[in-house]
Amino acid sequence: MKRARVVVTGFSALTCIGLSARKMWQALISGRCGASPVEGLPFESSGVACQIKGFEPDGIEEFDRASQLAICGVRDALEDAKLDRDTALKVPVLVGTTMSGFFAGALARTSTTAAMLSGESAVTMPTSDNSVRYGYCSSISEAVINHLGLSGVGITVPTACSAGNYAIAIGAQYIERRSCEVVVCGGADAFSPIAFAGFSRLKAMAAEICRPFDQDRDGLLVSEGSAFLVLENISSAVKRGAHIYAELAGYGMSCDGYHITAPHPKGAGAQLAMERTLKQAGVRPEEVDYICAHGTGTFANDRMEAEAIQTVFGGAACTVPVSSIKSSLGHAMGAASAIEAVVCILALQHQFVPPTLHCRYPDPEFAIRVVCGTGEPAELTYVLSNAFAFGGNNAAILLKRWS
Amino acid sequence: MWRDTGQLCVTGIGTITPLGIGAASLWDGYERWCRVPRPSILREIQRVQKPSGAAHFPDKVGIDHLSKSSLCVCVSAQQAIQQSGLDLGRLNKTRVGVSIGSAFASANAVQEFSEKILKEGPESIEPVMFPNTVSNAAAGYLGAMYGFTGLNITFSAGINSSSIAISYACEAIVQNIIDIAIAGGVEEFVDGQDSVNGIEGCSLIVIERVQDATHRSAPQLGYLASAIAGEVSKEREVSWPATMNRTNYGGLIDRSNRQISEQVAEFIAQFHGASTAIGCALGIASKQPFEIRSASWDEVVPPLKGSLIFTVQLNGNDA
Repeated sequence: MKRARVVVTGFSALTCIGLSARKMWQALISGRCGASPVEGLPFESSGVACQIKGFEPDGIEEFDRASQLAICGVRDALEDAKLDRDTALKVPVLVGTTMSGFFAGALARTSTTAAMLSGESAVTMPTSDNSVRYGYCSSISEAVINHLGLSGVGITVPTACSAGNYAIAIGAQYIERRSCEVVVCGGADAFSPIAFAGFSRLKAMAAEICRPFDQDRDGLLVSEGSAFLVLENISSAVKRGAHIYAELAGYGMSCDGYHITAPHPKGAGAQLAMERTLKQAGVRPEEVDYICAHGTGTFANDRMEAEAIQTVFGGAACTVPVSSIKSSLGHAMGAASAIEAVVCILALQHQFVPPTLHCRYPDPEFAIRVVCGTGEPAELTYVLSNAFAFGGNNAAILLKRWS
Repeated sequence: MWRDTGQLCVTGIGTITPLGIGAASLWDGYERWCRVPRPSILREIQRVQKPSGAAHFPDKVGIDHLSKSSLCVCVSAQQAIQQSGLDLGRLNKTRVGVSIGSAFASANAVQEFSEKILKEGPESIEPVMFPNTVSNAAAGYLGAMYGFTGLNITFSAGINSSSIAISYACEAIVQNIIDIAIAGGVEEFVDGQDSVNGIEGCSLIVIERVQDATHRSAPQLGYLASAIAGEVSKEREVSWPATMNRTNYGGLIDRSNRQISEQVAEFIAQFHGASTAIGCALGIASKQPFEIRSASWDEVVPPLKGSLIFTVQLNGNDA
């Protein structure tokens, strides 16, 4: 059976530099950075993070913050797609995440245990509620489905920092194989004290700012956010007169099969994900007009990604613009690649490559063209977005301008 | 998504439950469980003992720092690969994928990590603890241990988690993304939390094309007939027994005569996100025709109510 073509008919983003996709884009191209001293850690520590300020949604206080971000993100994306009510209520939801509501659950359990040991009544957070509401990895997609009253399936795709792209790829597969006409997919993660502490202990955290691909880069900044795409069968979208933002031309997944945290030194898994993406789309490397890099700002990741791009793109690696928006809004873990997918759609729409902030001296060992400091106008038809994760989970997607 | 029939088979299985290592111990435990009044004997043995990584993988230094669920996955995979007779030295590992389902995934590792940073501060954390907190740790460690690079994915969808993981693996083979999949489910609950009336466990199967298995004379333990995971079911294809209206039941085994075995369904459903994968092990160990269906009508998770159907047909004659 011929694969159905998949288009994007709605999207949303909630980030530390903008509480909507359009506000995020404006902040991004104007060079705003979301980094600030970390707040709200439940232990003694200091540092910098990219946390969302002013996100206090009404009516969903009962959910953990990751679920809140997911609920609002899915709601906004569905509204943007202007689906009829019956269709919207039946869409499958795929939520990529790293931590789901785990930390909130752990914190509640720990507080409950402490209260019980001290003889106090743990009335505020009964154990059974903790387990049901936060204890599941899948609780985040269940929260979305439950709160929005959807009747489609809810699946959590917890493939860490590449989870957003994985969710998008799997969502596309559902449409391509005609399991459904419309799917909403993306990622959400709340600021994670676990990630903050964990990356600190791995010495992968930037001291002040994140400068991907810079020779002086010193790590990532932990962030939070959500982003979702409404993917739709092209015939369905055309039939209902939907506004089509872009086409999902291809995607590819792979695994490093090398180490749980360290990327493959030659970027073999990253290469395979990019190659599979281009092959599926039938696009040659030189046809790609922009690469939205994973670009965490850690020494090992950026070096691996640059090498993988050089291998896949050959001579074109020196000309295709590459940038990392994590310099602006940090690393939102499972939401990161979903946010980057939205940025790619907006880049296609505005024909503009967003900048890599803080990258003053691109690493001379990298034979790639990093767009530093400020963005640049460009003729964009195909844009590639990379995502790599713990577990060696790699996923790339290719978006095509809709005309 | 995958609806083709007769193309894929199971050539190896590895299982760890509180009843022991291997599918045979699971079947023995099931038969004992059937003979006792509820609540079952398993209520007292919900937890799996963490396998010894050093004993199973003596050449892997430091492997015992992996979480229990990750070690269960690695040990189960070792069993399954061994039974399937795969020659790891000659295998094209870019064509081998890993697909794991889990409802709770790394919840226990997160709990341990969180309690330590809350009580002793972030500096008390050993860096090796951090990767255990991500929900794809088990699949990631398995991929790294064997160098499987074709695909590596983790799904979490409550009690349907392993159904989705297995059906996705089937799809990946049918779509020619990979040739061999190690797929299944694992559950590890949070220590000290007794609010989950479930059983920990792990079950992984080796899936490949029938023609490939035949070509290399691999055991064909069963056949995957069809899978429709991730779809909204149009209607339920069988009449669900009244007892299935209770919460936390997600697996159903329909014998060849189409009579539903409530006992089997109730038994495997206790394994939560690993239930369908555990059902595969039980089916093979039974040494009789089996058909497994997995759907969810879980009152705790309304969105998954009746939303997934997954079938596996197994002919346990070679087990």
